[in-house]
Parts: sequence; structure tokens; C-alpha cells
Amino acid sequence: MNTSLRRDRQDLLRAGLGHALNLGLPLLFVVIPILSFVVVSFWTLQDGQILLIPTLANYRAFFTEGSYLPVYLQTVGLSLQVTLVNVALSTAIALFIFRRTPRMRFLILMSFMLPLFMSYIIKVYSIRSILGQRGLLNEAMLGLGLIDQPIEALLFSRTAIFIALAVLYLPYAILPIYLALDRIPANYLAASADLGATPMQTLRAVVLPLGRPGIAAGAVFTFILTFGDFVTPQMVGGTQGFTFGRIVFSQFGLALNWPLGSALAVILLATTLLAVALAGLSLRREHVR
Amino acid sequence: MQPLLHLNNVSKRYGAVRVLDGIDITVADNEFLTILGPSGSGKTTILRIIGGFEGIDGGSLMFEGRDLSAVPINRRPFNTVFQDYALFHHMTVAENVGYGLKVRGRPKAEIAARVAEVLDTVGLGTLGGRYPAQMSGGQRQRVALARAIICEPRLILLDEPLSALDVELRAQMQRFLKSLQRRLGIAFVFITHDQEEAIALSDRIIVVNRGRIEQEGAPEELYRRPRTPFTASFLGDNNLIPGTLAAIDGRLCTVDTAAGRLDATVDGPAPAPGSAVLVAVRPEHVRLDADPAAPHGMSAEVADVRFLGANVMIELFNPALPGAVIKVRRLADGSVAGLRPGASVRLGWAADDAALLQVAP
Amino acid sequence: MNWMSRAVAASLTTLTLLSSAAAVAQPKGEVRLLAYEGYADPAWVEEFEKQTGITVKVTYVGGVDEQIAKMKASNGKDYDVVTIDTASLKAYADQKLIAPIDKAKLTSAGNLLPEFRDMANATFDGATYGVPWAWGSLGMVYDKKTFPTAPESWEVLWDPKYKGKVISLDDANNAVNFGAIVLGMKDPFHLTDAQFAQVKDKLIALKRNLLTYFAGFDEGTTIWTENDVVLMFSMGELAAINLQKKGFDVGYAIPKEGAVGWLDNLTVSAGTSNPDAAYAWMNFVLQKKIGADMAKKFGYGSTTDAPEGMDYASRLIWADNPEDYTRRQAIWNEVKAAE
Repeated sequence: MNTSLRRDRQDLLRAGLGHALNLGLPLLFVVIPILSFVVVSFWTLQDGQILLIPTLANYRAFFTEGSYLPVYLQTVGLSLQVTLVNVALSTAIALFIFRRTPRMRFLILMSFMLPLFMSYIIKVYSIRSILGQRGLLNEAMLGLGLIDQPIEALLFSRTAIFIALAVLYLPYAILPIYLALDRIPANYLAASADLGATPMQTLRAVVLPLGRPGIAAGAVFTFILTFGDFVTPQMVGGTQGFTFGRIVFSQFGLALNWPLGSALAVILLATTLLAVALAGLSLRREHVR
Repeated sequence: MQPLLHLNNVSKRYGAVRVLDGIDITVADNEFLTILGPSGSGKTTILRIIGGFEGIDGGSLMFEGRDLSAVPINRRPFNTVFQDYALFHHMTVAENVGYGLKVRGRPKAEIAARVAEVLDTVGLGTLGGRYPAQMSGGQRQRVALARAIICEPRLILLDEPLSALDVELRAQMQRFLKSLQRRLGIAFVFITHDQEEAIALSDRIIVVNRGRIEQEGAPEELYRRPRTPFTASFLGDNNLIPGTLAAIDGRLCTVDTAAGRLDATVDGPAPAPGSAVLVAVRPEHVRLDADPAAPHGMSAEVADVRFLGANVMIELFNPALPGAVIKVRRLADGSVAGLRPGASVRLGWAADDAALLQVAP
Repeated sequence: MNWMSRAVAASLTTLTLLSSAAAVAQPKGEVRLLAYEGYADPAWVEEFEKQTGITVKVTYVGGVDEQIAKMKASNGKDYDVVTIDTASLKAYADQKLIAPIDKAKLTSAGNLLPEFRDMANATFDGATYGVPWAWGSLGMVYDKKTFPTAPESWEVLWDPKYKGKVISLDDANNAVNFGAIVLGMKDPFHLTDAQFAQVKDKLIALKRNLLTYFAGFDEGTTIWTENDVVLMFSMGELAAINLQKKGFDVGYAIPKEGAVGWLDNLTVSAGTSNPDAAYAWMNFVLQKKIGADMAKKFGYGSTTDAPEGMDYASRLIWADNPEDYTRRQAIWNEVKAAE
């Protein structure tokens, strides 16, 4: 009886430890770091010193001072546009892959995933060397006689931001969309055609609605990655590449305005959470098979 | 009269594998036709060819005299009930059922009215607002049927639609299918590997095996008069006794076997005397008390007597037919009460109850 | 010394510590250096150790903050010679982390170039706390084909003729310094509200003429090589040197308005236990040949031997701590956000 009691206690201990890990790991690695900058966002910066005096001034600054709100709105706009372009492109590519034979699918999918194995910064640099005035694209078009002067607007422009972010984040959208399409039972397509639907009607009524979770996931990934990106837009967008992420980042450099930076980061986080929530909302009608 | 549908000498290959070879099938209007065969026999391929999901490598596919081979799936006047129903899980039952009308651009009011009507027909009158996931297997089956009949196709293809149901539900659905088909007056082409189901439902059965048609006919005809060893053993129990055709007189044949001289009858062209043949006789047609003095018939020893409720299955053997078990079915009444393993009996049957089967050379 | 190479230096610190720990002997004690990368070349260390018998122990730091932290941790007792940028000198002196220079022991002072000899940048309240040692500037890089002679004024960056062919450093503090210098403001490090407004407008006007901003030496040179750029507000001499190495015909100039310069000084730690060794090291590295070697190896200006082309030290405005980093960052964000 004594032993069984001890064993019970051990089991309880083990279960408790398991729960502690289940809760503790996310707490340690996710919640606490986020909470820490939520806390800092309510502190005061005075004469370059951070004071532990609670204030809403940092949030007030976002709405009233400087260029924070305009840049925020511009960045939301940019991210939405990039998301739209990226999701449209990814859906088309995912559909293309979906229509191949199973073996080809894997090969094509892998080739689209390949950039994921490359360093981010190398990708940005290569995009830049391709789009530059003396870059690969211009040189090639000059060589082919398609143009007689380099196109200057390729790099350091909004176009470049779109191209670069599309290239960088395409895999993040293609993968979830393709996986969603891949889950569509083959005989749904057969049934749709059997009932008289044209391929376009099948696409609209069956494929796209069933791909929606993937499309929503791809859109959320693209939006979040774009919205938080403070490197790529700057590196390829030239003077057009100033984004909200850059402003957040700048508060942690020499400016050492951690409270404002934290407040802006909280706003950035809230925006991405909102994007996730909206995507979740759009999937409400999804029914389990 | 012109058949509704005619598959003429159709063949189909997957790579080097020939899956269908010289298939000839006609479907008449209002007919319940079953294509019966084991898995891998090519029966599903036939269905997919009719539906337009597969092309053909030879022969032709005609609908009311019109060549269908170039007509895409969505323009064929058939609808299919898929094996796992293929109900769109993101649509309600009503949306699923109305889908065929919707893609044809029919007005909403008409679709709603027709959906209600068809759901009534399949006995799901009030469930249009549900999602497939909220329904039982039998209900989903009915939704799939409703979806297939709403466009009033000339022909409905059913791909083993009952295989996912449990025994009781299956029997119920069989009755429902049969009555539905009669009410609608639409031709059904039904695919199954279940010979009992085929016999219970069909006006006509086509038995396929290894990409070829073995035999076709009304269920009773196939059951009573199989012409090939495959049909004989695939449809119900049969005792197949090998021998050599000794003599033939009209339909009546005499077959020499290791166990003795046996009687049988033959349908259609008869093989030449001396050919290797099989005598197929159903367990319920074998008599245990034949006249020992009769010139034809065989002796056997009882090996086992198994009680099966209404029936008793008696298993016998003859030393001259090593490895062969002869089965005899009897009503479980007093007539077999005395039978014990080891007893010697004399077996016999009416020549009309035994079919002579040719053995493929 | 710039922040980039400081970052590199930080990563090298551990490596160097390991190798110097393996070094030999201690006949005449040791000198412990707290330095930025390039300030204690192994070749000099070897020669110094052979000559004097004093062992050299180097600790590299990546930036000002790290340096102050290290000095404060032991009140300077862990180090003998510390290299400190001019803008930070006074803070070290005020906190008594460094000792005034004993000029009697500084026998190499005569080697200093005339513009550094009075050590005015390192002298507070009559006491001198540092000896100028290495310097550089944030000057203009120009394409020699487009400009056969160096442009005289920074205003050329605003010239619509070169629209889309100009790139500029993306650094809040130095961008504001730069704007103020171009506008001729006396003290670019301490601006009034009105001056801030002027600088902001000036920088926004520049933005409209830019191809793009860049951050860091590498990015500046990469953008130059891949695009049709003729003018750059650069991070320093190294930008031009790197481009020349890649075969680009560029020049480096300090226009008439001047430019921000940085000047690092050799100082003696207040906590030194071996001042003689400290002065021995300072006297050793203040030799002309060491200065020349440093200029050649790292592109820094030497205070003892002016390398070719680096004749503009007197026109530089030595960097000072700005009035408000936070404010400069806010202004810079507004410039970058402007249409």
C-alpha cells in the first residue's frame, strides 16, 4: 500500500512535470519575451534615461507625433498589396502543381521550396544584383537589343519591393495553398465534372473554396512577413522602402528609445494578430469532413 | 431497337497492361444492369469509361447511336454515384443536390423547388440544411443519389455505392435502390463485386473477369446455367467436377470422370466429344439417395455435416477425386438426421440441374 | 574607427585573447590594451615585445558602450592603455577612469603632425587626457569620369542633373550632422529647434535626388558597382579604397563645407599598475612608420604620418556626442517617411 502510494505520488509528479513543460516552454520562449516588451512600452523615456514610471505617452506618440501613423498605414497598404499579388501568384502556381502527375508535383513543389534553404540576405543581394542598372536583367535585355538604355526603375522602386517580396515569400504562400489543394479528394473533381460543371466552374465552386484555408494561411504568412520586414523594402525599395518595421527597428539603435520602440512593436504584433484573427474568421464556415 | 448505350469492342490499356479487352455491352432504357466482377476485373474501368473519366484505346462508345468518345465528362448525359459518395463537404445537402442545376445556370427558385422534390424522393425531405458530415452513412448515400438524379440523366452509374454500409443498412438500401430505379424509369449501371447484391437488384448481370466478359444474362439464368467455370464459381456455391465429354445428344451430355459417369446439359454450342469439361452442379441440386444401380452417378463418403440454421451443409469426398470436396445443401429437417461422417452415399442429380462447362484450352 | 569594424573586432576578441594567452614570458611586466580592431597589429606587438621585453595583452572591444562597461567594472584596473574616441573622452575623464597624460613621459609627441600636436581635442580644464592616434572622415566619393576635378561643394548632391545617381548613408545621427554641416551650421552636434527644421527640409530635398540610401561600407560599394552612381555621402575613406580596388575610377573629397571626422586617442587608464609600460607602448606606436603601416593596412588616417591624399584633417569637424539621439532618430524617420 505504501509503495502504491509512492507510485501514485511519482505518477502525479511526472504528470505535473509534463504539464509544467507543456505550459512552461511556450511561456518561457514566447509569452515572457512578448510580455517583457509590452511592459517596457508603458515606461517613460526622459533625457535619454528609461524611467519605470507608467505612461501611455508612447502609444499617444504613435497616433499624434512624427510620421508613425502615416508610415504604419502606408505599410499596411503595401503589405496588403504584396499579399494580394503574392496570393494570386501562389494560387496560380499551386493550381499548376496540383494539375501535374503526383511525381511531377513533388519535383515542381520542391523546386519552388528551394529558396527556403537559402539565406535571406543572400536572396536579397541576388535580387538586387539582378535588378540593378548594371544588373543581370538589364544587361540581358541590352544584349538582346530589347532596350537601348538600362531601365532605371527596376531597382529602388515600389516595383522592386513587389518583385523582391514576391520572390522571398512565395514559398510561404505556395506551400499552404498547395497542401490545402492536395487534400481535396480526387473524386470531388470527378463528381463536379460528372454533374456538368466546366473546369472553371469546378475551380470556383470546389477547388478554391476547399483551398481557402491554405489561401488564408498563405495570405496571413505573406502579410505578417511583409509587415514586419524592415530589411528588404529598405534594400530594394530605395527611398520608397521605408516601412513601419524600420521605424520600430530604429528605436532600438542609437536612439535607445526602448519604450517607444516597444509600444510600436506591440502595435505591430497587434496588427499581425488581427490579420490572423481575420483569416480565422473567414474560415468559420469550414466544415470537417 | 437501338440500345441506349453501346460499348462496342472496347479495349483499354494502362501502359503494357491490358485492362479491358473486346468489351461489348449494351444498356437498354429503364434497365437495371449490374457489372459484376472481382476486384481487378476491370469493372470500375468500364464505369469510368462510360462516365468519361477514362478514354478508350479501341472500339467505340455510342449513346443513342451517337459517338461519345469525344464528349467531355461534363457534357455526358449520365451522372455517377461514387463509391465514397464524393459529397462536397463544404456545401450543405441542398447545395450538393442542387449543384448540377446550378452549374447549368438554372434559376434559384427552380433549383430550390427541384432540390426539395428530389430530397423528398430519397426520403430526406427536411435535411437540406445539414452538412454531409452531420449525416449517417445511409443518409449520405441518399444525398449522393439525389444529387445524381436531379438533372434527370438518361443513365446513372453507381460505383459500388453500398460497399461502405453495414449488412442491415445495405439490404435496406438495396430495396430502396431497386424501387427508386423503377419509379424513375432511368437506366442504372451498377458496379459490384457482391454476387448476392447483383442477383437481388439486377434485371441483367454482366460478369467480367480479367478484362473480359465471361457471361451475361438475367440473374436466374446466370445462376442456373453458368457457361464458364468462373461464372459458375463466382455466382453462389457450385461443385465443379472435372471430366471428359463422352457423348452428346442434343443438350444432354454424358461426362466420364474418375469417379464415374455423370449427366449434364449444355447451352449453346457444344464442345466436341473428348474435350476436357467440368460438370457444375449446385449443392442444393445434389441428391444423396440416388439409385445405386443407375448407370450414371457417383459414390461418396460423408466427411462432415455442418448445421447452418435453416440448412445443413454436407461435405463429401470420393477417393478417385483427390482434393475435391463435394458440397450438398439440405433443409435442416429429419431427412438428414441420420447422416454421420463416414457414411457412404450415392450422389445423383437431374441432368437439367448440371451445367456442362468448357475448360479453356 | 567606425561601428562596422568595431562589430567585427568584437567577434575577434575571444580569438585574440586565446592567442595572446599562449604568448611567452614576462621579463619586464606587461601592458594591457583595451583597443579597437587595427590598433594593435600583431606585427607591431611582436616588434614591441622584442624591443622592450614587455608583454602585450590585447582586449578588443566592439563599441563605446562595451568599452565603458569594461572600464567601469574595474575602475580601469584591468587595463593600462585605452583607445577612446574624442566624443567620449570627457566622460571618461569626468568619471576618473583615465589619468591626465604625463607629457614628460611621452617622448614620441614630437612625431605628431602639426594639427594634432597641441592635443586640443583631448584637453579639458588645462589637463590633457589623450594623444590623437587615428582618424577618418565621412566624406564624398565621386566618379572621376563625371567630375574630372573634385566637386567643391556638397550641394552637388542636390543638383537635379544627378538625380537618381546619388546615394547617401542611412544613419540618423550622421545624416543630421551632414545636413547641418552642408547648411553651414557652426555646431552640427547641438542644434536648435529651428535648425532641426532646416536640416530636415534639406535632407528631404536630398532624398528626392537619391537613388537609394545605403547602410555600411559593403552595401555602399555594392550599390555603386551594380548601378549608375556618381556621388556618395560615404561612411569613410574605405568606401573609396574599396571601389578603387574593384577598378572603379573614383575620388574621395572633403568639400568646402567640411565633413564629420572621428579621432581616436591613446589614453592611460587611471587604474594602471604599470604606467611605464603604458607610455612605452604609446611612444612605440606613435612612430611615423607604425602610423604609415596602419594607414596602409586599415585605411585609417595616422596622426604621425599623413598618408597620400589625407591632407584634410584640419578641415574636419571632430565628432561630438549629439544633443539628443532620440530626437535625431525621430527627425530621420520623418525624412525617410516623407514623400
